[in-house]
Amino acid sequence: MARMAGTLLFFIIVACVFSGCHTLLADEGGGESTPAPEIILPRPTSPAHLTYLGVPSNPQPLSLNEVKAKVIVIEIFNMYCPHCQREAPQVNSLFELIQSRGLQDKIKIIGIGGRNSDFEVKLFQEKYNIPFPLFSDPDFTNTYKLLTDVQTPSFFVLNKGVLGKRKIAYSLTGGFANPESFLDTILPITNLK
Amino acid sequence: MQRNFLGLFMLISLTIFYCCPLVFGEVQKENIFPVEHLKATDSALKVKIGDPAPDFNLPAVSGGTISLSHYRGQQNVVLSFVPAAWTPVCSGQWPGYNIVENLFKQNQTILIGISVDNIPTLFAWTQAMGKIWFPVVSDFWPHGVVAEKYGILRSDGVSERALFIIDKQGIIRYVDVHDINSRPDLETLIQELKKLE
Repeated sequence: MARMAGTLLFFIIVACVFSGCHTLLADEGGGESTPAPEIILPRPTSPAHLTYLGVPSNPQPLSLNEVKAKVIVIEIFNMYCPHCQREAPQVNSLFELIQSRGLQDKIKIIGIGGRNSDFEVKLFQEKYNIPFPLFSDPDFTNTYKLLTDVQTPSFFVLNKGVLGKRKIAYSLTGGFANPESFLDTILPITNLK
Repeated sequence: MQRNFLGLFMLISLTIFYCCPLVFGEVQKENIFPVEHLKATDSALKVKIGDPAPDFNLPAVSGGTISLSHYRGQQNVVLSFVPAAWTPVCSGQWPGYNIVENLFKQNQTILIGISVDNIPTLFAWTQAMGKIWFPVVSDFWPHGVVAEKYGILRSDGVSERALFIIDKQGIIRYVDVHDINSRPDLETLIQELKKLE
Protein backbone atom coordinates (compact mmCIF):
# COMPACT_ATOMS: atom_id res chain seq x y z
CA MET A 1 0.00 0.00 0.00
CA ALA A 2 2.77 2.42 0.98
CA ARG A 3 4.75 1.37 -2.07
CA MET A 4 1.75 2.00 -4.34
CA ALA A 5 1.16 5.40 -2.77
CA GLY A 6 4.80 6.25 -3.34
CA THR A 7 4.59 5.22 -7.01
CA LEU A 8 1.42 7.24 -7.51
CA LEU A 9 3.03 10.27 -5.91
CA PHE A 10 6.04 9.84 -8.20
CA PHE A 11 3.83 9.87 -11.30
CA ILE A 12 1.86 12.88 -10.07
CA ILE A 13 5.10 14.79 -9.66
CA VAL A 14 6.42 13.71 -13.07
CA ALA A 15 3.18 14.75 -14.80
CA CYS A 16 3.17 18.14 -13.07
CA VAL A 17 6.81 18.84 -13.78
CA PHE A 18 6.55 17.98 -17.47
CA SER A 19 3.31 19.89 -18.04
CA GLY A 20 4.58 22.83 -16.04
CA CYS A 21 7.80 22.96 -18.00
CA HIS A 22 5.99 23.45 -21.26
CA THR A 23 5.35 27.15 -21.77
CA LEU A 24 1.69 27.93 -21.62
CA LEU A 25 1.32 30.67 -24.13
CA ALA A 26 4.59 31.46 -25.81
CA ASP A 27 8.15 30.50 -26.57
CA GLU A 28 10.46 31.87 -23.91
CA GLY A 29 14.18 32.41 -23.88
CA GLY A 30 15.20 32.76 -20.29
CA GLY A 31 18.56 33.14 -18.70
CA GLU A 32 20.27 34.34 -21.84
CA SER A 33 23.08 36.87 -21.62
CA THR A 34 23.80 37.80 -25.18
CA PRO A 35 25.04 41.35 -25.60
CA ALA A 36 22.24 43.69 -26.59
CA PRO A 37 22.57 45.31 -30.04
CA GLU A 38 22.68 49.09 -30.13
CA ILE A 39 19.17 50.25 -30.89
CA ILE A 40 18.99 53.68 -32.54
CA LEU A 41 15.58 55.26 -32.85
CA PRO A 42 14.07 58.60 -33.85
CA ARG A 43 14.29 60.80 -30.77
CA PRO A 44 10.84 61.42 -29.23
CA THR A 45 9.58 64.97 -29.38
CA SER A 46 6.96 64.62 -26.67
CA PRO A 47 8.27 66.12 -23.39
CA ALA A 48 6.47 63.36 -21.47
CA HIS A 49 8.31 60.64 -23.37
CA LEU A 50 11.67 62.38 -23.08
CA THR A 51 11.16 62.73 -19.34
CA TYR A 52 10.05 59.10 -19.03
CA LEU A 53 13.20 57.88 -20.77
CA GLY A 54 15.38 60.41 -18.97
CA VAL A 55 16.95 61.70 -22.18
CA PRO A 56 17.39 65.24 -23.45
CA SER A 57 15.70 66.84 -26.43
CA ASN A 58 18.05 67.40 -29.36
CA PRO A 59 18.06 66.79 -33.13
CA GLN A 60 20.14 63.59 -32.86
CA PRO A 61 18.66 60.10 -33.13
CA LEU A 62 18.24 58.37 -29.79
CA SER A 63 20.45 55.47 -28.83
CA LEU A 64 18.99 53.28 -26.11
CA ASN A 65 22.43 53.47 -24.48
CA GLU A 66 21.43 56.97 -23.38
CA VAL A 67 18.62 55.56 -21.24
CA LYS A 68 19.94 55.23 -17.70
CA ALA A 69 17.30 52.84 -16.34
CA LYS A 70 18.67 49.39 -15.54
CA VAL A 71 16.09 47.46 -17.53
CA ILE A 72 14.40 48.25 -20.82
CA VAL A 73 11.54 46.07 -22.00
CA ILE A 74 11.18 46.31 -25.77
CA GLU A 75 7.99 45.16 -27.45
CA ILE A 76 8.32 44.54 -31.19
CA PHE A 77 4.81 45.08 -32.48
CA ASN A 78 2.92 45.73 -35.69
CA MET A 79 -0.12 47.99 -35.81
CA TYR A 80 -1.69 45.54 -38.30
CA CYS A 81 -1.21 42.46 -36.14
CA PRO A 82 -4.36 41.29 -34.30
CA HIS A 83 -2.23 39.62 -31.61
CA CYS A 84 -0.54 42.94 -30.84
CA GLN A 85 -3.92 44.65 -30.79
CA ARG A 86 -5.21 42.10 -28.26
CA GLU A 87 -1.99 42.30 -26.25
CA ALA A 88 -1.95 46.11 -25.97
CA PRO A 89 -4.07 46.33 -22.79
CA GLN A 90 -1.84 43.71 -21.14
CA VAL A 91 1.30 45.70 -21.88
CA ASN A 92 -0.42 48.82 -20.52
CA SER A 93 -1.18 46.83 -17.37
CA LEU A 94 2.48 45.87 -17.13
CA PHE A 95 3.39 49.57 -17.27
CA GLU A 96 0.93 50.31 -14.46
CA LEU A 97 2.17 47.37 -12.42
CA ILE A 98 5.74 48.62 -12.69
CA GLN A 99 4.57 52.05 -11.49
CA SER A 100 2.60 50.56 -8.61
CA ARG A 101 5.63 48.59 -7.42
CA GLY A 102 7.77 51.73 -7.45
CA LEU A 103 10.02 50.35 -10.20
CA GLN A 104 9.35 53.04 -12.80
CA ASP A 105 12.88 54.45 -12.59
CA LYS A 106 14.44 51.01 -12.94
CA ILE A 107 12.29 49.43 -15.68
CA LYS A 108 11.25 51.26 -18.83
CA ILE A 109 9.02 49.93 -21.60
CA ILE A 110 9.19 50.96 -25.24
CA GLY A 111 7.52 49.65 -28.39
CA ILE A 112 9.09 49.35 -31.83
CA GLY A 113 6.62 49.12 -34.74
CA GLY A 114 8.24 46.79 -37.26
CA ARG A 115 7.52 47.99 -40.82
CA ASN A 116 5.13 50.62 -39.47
CA SER A 117 5.26 54.28 -40.41
CA ASP A 118 5.09 57.15 -37.90
CA PHE A 119 1.44 57.58 -38.89
CA GLU A 120 0.61 53.94 -38.20
CA VAL A 121 2.48 53.90 -34.88
CA LYS A 122 0.66 57.07 -33.79
CA LEU A 123 -2.71 55.45 -34.61
CA PHE A 124 -1.81 52.42 -32.49
CA GLN A 125 -0.68 54.64 -29.62
CA GLU A 126 -3.91 56.63 -29.68
CA LYS A 127 -6.20 53.66 -30.17
CA TYR A 128 -4.90 51.83 -27.09
CA ASN A 129 -3.92 54.88 -24.98
CA ILE A 130 -0.41 53.58 -24.69
CA PRO A 131 1.49 55.53 -22.02
CA PHE A 132 5.04 54.55 -22.99
CA PRO A 133 6.98 55.67 -26.11
CA LEU A 134 6.43 53.88 -29.41
CA PHE A 135 8.79 54.15 -32.36
CA SER A 136 8.38 53.42 -36.05
CA ASP A 137 10.82 51.04 -37.76
CA PRO A 138 9.72 51.24 -41.41
CA ASP A 139 12.61 49.19 -42.83
CA PHE A 140 12.88 46.72 -39.94
CA THR A 141 16.37 48.14 -39.23
CA ASN A 142 16.06 47.83 -35.46
CA THR A 143 13.69 44.88 -35.55
CA TYR A 144 16.23 42.79 -37.46
CA LYS A 145 18.87 43.56 -34.82
CA LEU A 146 16.74 41.64 -32.35
CA LEU A 147 15.12 38.92 -34.43
CA THR A 148 15.40 37.55 -37.96
CA ASP A 149 12.13 35.62 -38.07
CA VAL A 150 9.83 38.49 -37.25
CA GLN A 151 6.84 37.46 -35.20
CA THR A 152 4.74 39.93 -33.30
CA PRO A 153 4.39 40.67 -30.52
CA SER A 154 7.87 39.80 -29.32
CA PHE A 155 9.41 41.06 -26.10
CA PHE A 156 13.07 41.61 -25.24
CA VAL A 157 14.34 42.47 -21.78
CA LEU A 158 17.58 44.41 -21.91
CA ASN A 159 19.42 44.47 -18.59
CA LYS A 160 22.35 46.65 -17.63
CA GLY A 161 24.99 44.65 -15.83
CA VAL A 162 27.51 45.74 -13.24
CA LEU A 163 29.91 47.07 -15.88
CA GLY A 164 27.19 49.18 -17.49
CA LYS A 165 26.78 47.05 -20.63
CA ARG A 166 23.33 45.89 -21.61
CA LYS A 167 22.57 42.26 -22.31
CA ILE A 168 19.43 40.53 -23.50
CA ALA A 169 18.36 38.88 -20.28
CA TYR A 170 15.07 37.45 -21.51
CA SER A 171 12.99 37.19 -24.66
CA LEU A 172 9.46 36.11 -25.40
CA THR A 173 7.61 35.47 -28.64
CA GLY A 174 3.88 35.93 -28.28
CA GLY A 175 1.89 37.46 -25.47
CA PHE A 176 2.65 37.00 -21.80
CA ALA A 177 0.12 35.15 -19.63
CA ASN A 178 -0.39 38.12 -17.34
CA PRO A 179 1.65 41.17 -16.31
CA GLU A 180 2.31 39.87 -12.80
CA SER A 181 3.87 36.62 -13.97
CA PHE A 182 5.93 38.44 -16.60
CA LEU A 183 7.28 40.89 -14.02
CA ASP A 184 7.89 38.10 -11.50
CA THR A 185 9.88 36.28 -14.19
CA ILE A 186 12.13 39.18 -15.13
CA LEU A 187 12.81 40.64 -11.68
CA PRO A 188 15.15 37.88 -10.47
CA ILE A 189 16.81 37.64 -13.90
CA THR A 190 17.64 41.36 -13.77
CA ASN A 191 18.56 41.34 -10.07
CA LEU A 192 15.69 43.62 -9.17
CA LYS A 193 13.05 43.10 -6.48
CA MET B 1 -7.60 -4.18 -8.78
CA GLN B 2 -4.74 -2.10 -7.39
CA ARG B 3 -2.64 -2.83 -10.46
CA ASN B 4 -5.44 -1.69 -12.79
CA PHE B 5 -5.85 1.50 -10.80
CA LEU B 6 -2.12 2.20 -11.03
CA GLY B 7 -2.12 1.57 -14.76
CA LEU B 8 -5.06 3.91 -15.25
CA PHE B 9 -3.37 6.62 -13.23
CA MET B 10 -0.18 6.32 -15.28
CA LEU B 11 -2.24 6.68 -18.42
CA ILE B 12 -3.95 9.80 -17.08
CA SER B 13 -0.61 11.34 -16.04
CA LEU B 14 0.91 10.78 -19.46
CA THR B 15 -2.21 12.20 -21.11
CA ILE B 16 -1.90 15.35 -19.02
CA PHE B 17 1.74 15.66 -20.04
CA TYR B 18 1.02 15.33 -23.74
CA CYS B 19 -2.24 17.24 -23.82
CA CYS B 20 -1.21 20.36 -21.90
CA PRO B 21 0.55 21.79 -24.95
CA LEU B 22 -2.59 21.20 -27.01
CA VAL B 23 -4.84 22.76 -24.38
CA PHE B 24 -2.85 25.97 -24.10
CA GLY B 25 -1.23 25.97 -27.51
CA GLU B 26 0.89 28.72 -28.88
CA VAL B 27 -0.97 31.94 -29.47
CA GLN B 28 1.73 33.14 -31.81
CA LYS B 29 1.46 30.37 -34.41
CA GLU B 30 -1.18 31.63 -36.80
CA ASN B 31 -2.68 29.56 -39.56
CA ILE B 32 -0.99 31.67 -42.19
CA PHE B 33 -0.07 30.00 -45.45
CA PRO B 34 3.39 31.07 -46.58
CA VAL B 35 3.43 32.59 -50.04
CA GLU B 36 6.52 33.17 -52.14
CA HIS B 37 7.27 36.45 -53.84
CA LEU B 38 4.79 36.94 -56.67
CA LYS B 39 4.74 39.07 -59.82
CA ALA B 40 3.72 42.54 -58.60
CA THR B 41 0.61 42.77 -60.78
CA ASP B 42 -0.86 40.36 -63.30
CA SER B 43 -3.95 41.93 -64.88
CA ALA B 44 -5.20 44.72 -67.15
CA LEU B 45 -7.18 47.42 -65.39
CA LYS B 46 -10.56 48.16 -66.98
CA VAL B 47 -11.53 51.27 -65.00
CA LYS B 48 -9.98 54.65 -64.29
CA ILE B 49 -10.52 57.72 -62.17
CA GLY B 50 -13.68 59.49 -63.29
CA ASP B 51 -15.47 56.31 -64.43
CA PRO B 52 -18.65 55.15 -62.72
CA ALA B 53 -17.67 52.23 -60.49
CA PRO B 54 -19.09 48.91 -61.75
CA ASP B 55 -21.91 47.92 -59.43
CA PHE B 56 -22.14 44.52 -57.78
CA ASN B 57 -24.40 42.51 -55.50
CA LEU B 58 -22.39 39.96 -53.54
CA PRO B 59 -22.99 37.66 -50.55
CA ALA B 60 -21.72 39.08 -47.27
CA VAL B 61 -20.03 37.20 -44.42
CA SER B 62 -22.59 38.69 -42.04
CA GLY B 63 -25.43 37.24 -44.13
CA GLY B 64 -27.51 38.54 -47.01
CA THR B 65 -25.99 40.47 -49.88
CA ILE B 66 -24.40 43.87 -50.28
CA SER B 67 -24.53 46.07 -53.33
CA LEU B 68 -22.30 49.02 -54.08
CA SER B 69 -25.24 51.13 -55.24
CA HIS B 70 -26.77 50.82 -51.75
CA TYR B 71 -24.30 53.45 -50.57
CA ARG B 72 -24.90 55.94 -53.36
CA GLY B 73 -25.88 59.31 -52.02
CA GLN B 74 -25.01 58.26 -48.50
CA GLN B 75 -21.37 57.32 -48.08
CA ASN B 76 -18.11 57.18 -49.92
CA VAL B 77 -16.85 53.63 -50.36
CA VAL B 78 -13.38 52.18 -50.10
CA LEU B 79 -13.29 48.84 -51.88
CA SER B 80 -10.39 46.81 -50.54
CA PHE B 81 -9.68 43.80 -52.74
CA VAL B 82 -7.25 41.32 -51.22
CA PRO B 83 -5.94 38.26 -53.04
CA ALA B 84 -6.49 35.47 -50.53
CA ALA B 85 -7.52 34.75 -46.97
CA TRP B 86 -4.96 33.21 -44.63
CA THR B 87 -1.97 34.62 -46.50
CA PRO B 88 0.59 37.19 -45.38
CA VAL B 89 0.08 40.87 -46.06
CA CYS B 90 -3.66 40.26 -46.46
CA SER B 91 -3.72 38.97 -42.93
CA GLY B 92 -2.35 42.28 -41.77
CA GLN B 93 -4.13 44.77 -43.96
CA TRP B 94 -7.71 44.40 -42.71
CA PRO B 95 -6.81 44.11 -39.01
CA GLY B 96 -5.12 47.49 -39.43
CA TYR B 97 -8.23 49.03 -41.01
CA ASN B 98 -10.18 47.39 -38.21
CA ILE B 99 -8.73 49.74 -35.58
CA VAL B 100 -9.23 52.98 -37.50
CA GLU B 101 -12.99 52.97 -38.03
CA ASN B 102 -13.05 56.55 -36.74
CA LEU B 103 -10.88 57.74 -39.63
CA PHE B 104 -13.31 56.28 -42.17
CA LYS B 105 -16.34 57.67 -40.30
CA GLN B 106 -14.79 61.15 -40.14
CA ASN B 107 -14.72 61.08 -43.94
CA GLN B 108 -18.25 59.62 -44.31
CA THR B 109 -16.76 56.48 -45.76
CA ILE B 110 -17.60 52.80 -45.49
CA LEU B 111 -14.95 50.17 -46.12
CA ILE B 112 -15.95 46.98 -47.97
CA GLY B 113 -13.52 44.08 -47.93
CA ILE B 114 -13.69 41.71 -50.90
CA SER B 115 -11.85 38.64 -52.09
CA VAL B 116 -12.51 35.63 -54.34
CA ASP B 117 -12.62 33.31 -51.31
CA ASN B 118 -15.92 31.69 -50.43
CA ILE B 119 -18.04 32.78 -47.50
CA PRO B 120 -16.99 30.07 -44.99
CA THR B 121 -13.31 30.83 -45.66
CA LEU B 122 -13.85 34.58 -45.25
CA PHE B 123 -15.88 33.95 -42.12
CA ALA B 124 -13.14 31.87 -40.45
CA TRP B 125 -10.45 34.34 -41.43
CA THR B 126 -12.27 37.47 -40.29
CA GLN B 127 -13.26 35.76 -37.04
CA ALA B 128 -9.55 35.36 -36.30
CA MET B 129 -9.16 39.12 -36.63
CA GLY B 130 -11.63 39.73 -33.82
CA LYS B 131 -14.83 41.70 -34.29
CA ILE B 132 -14.64 43.70 -37.52
CA TRP B 133 -16.64 46.84 -38.15
CA PHE B 134 -16.78 46.72 -41.92
CA PRO B 135 -18.68 44.38 -44.25
CA VAL B 136 -16.83 41.67 -46.13
CA VAL B 137 -18.20 40.19 -49.35
CA SER B 138 -17.29 37.17 -51.43
CA ASP B 139 -16.51 37.31 -55.15
CA PHE B 140 -16.35 33.51 -55.27
CA TRP B 141 -19.17 32.63 -57.66
CA PRO B 142 -19.36 33.32 -60.54
CA HIS B 143 -15.65 33.23 -59.85
CA GLY B 144 -14.06 36.67 -59.64
CA VAL B 145 -16.80 38.30 -61.73
CA VAL B 146 -16.47 41.62 -59.89
CA ALA B 147 -12.67 41.54 -59.94
CA GLU B 148 -12.95 40.85 -63.69
CA LYS B 149 -15.26 43.86 -64.19
CA TYR B 150 -12.66 46.09 -62.56
CA GLY B 151 -9.88 44.41 -64.54
CA ILE B 152 -8.02 43.09 -61.52
CA LEU B 153 -8.43 39.33 -61.80
CA ARG B 154 -5.01 37.69 -61.95
CA SER B 155 -4.25 34.72 -64.16
CA ASP B 156 -4.21 32.34 -61.18
CA GLY B 157 -7.76 33.26 -60.14
CA VAL B 158 -7.09 35.62 -57.23
CA SER B 159 -7.66 39.34 -57.41
CA GLU B 160 -4.99 41.97 -57.20
CA ARG B 161 -4.33 43.75 -53.91
CA ALA B 162 -6.27 46.84 -54.97
CA LEU B 163 -7.98 49.83 -53.42
CA PHE B 164 -10.69 51.90 -55.08
CA ILE B 165 -12.21 55.01 -53.58
CA ILE B 166 -15.74 55.61 -54.87
CA ASP B 167 -17.53 58.81 -53.99
CA LYS B 168 -21.17 59.30 -53.04
CA GLN B 169 -22.07 59.75 -56.70
CA GLY B 170 -20.63 56.35 -57.48
CA ILE B 171 -17.61 57.73 -59.33
CA ILE B 172 -14.13 56.27 -58.97
CA ARG B 173 -11.85 58.89 -57.41
CA TYR B 174 -8.73 56.85 -56.56
CA VAL B 175 -7.21 53.63 -57.83
CA ASP B 176 -4.28 51.73 -56.34
CA VAL B 177 -3.53 48.37 -57.93
CA HIS B 178 -0.75 47.66 -55.51
CA ASP B 179 2.25 45.37 -55.65
CA ILE B 180 0.63 42.19 -54.38
CA ASN B 181 3.64 41.50 -52.13
CA SER B 182 3.38 44.67 -50.09
CA ARG B 183 0.85 46.49 -48.01
CA PRO B 184 -0.58 49.81 -49.27
CA ASP B 185 0.31 52.76 -47.08
CA LEU B 186 -2.56 53.68 -44.78
CA GLU B 187 -1.64 57.35 -44.54
CA THR B 188 -1.90 57.71 -48.32
CA LEU B 189 -5.38 56.18 -48.29
CA ILE B 190 -6.58 58.50 -45.52
CA GLN B 191 -5.14 61.53 -47.31
CA GLU B 192 -7.00 60.52 -50.48
CA LEU B 193 -10.22 60.18 -48.49
CA LYS B 194 -9.78 63.67 -47.10
CA LYS B 195 -9.67 65.03 -50.66
CA LEU B 196 -13.28 64.00 -51.27
CA GLU B 197 -15.88 66.72 -50.62
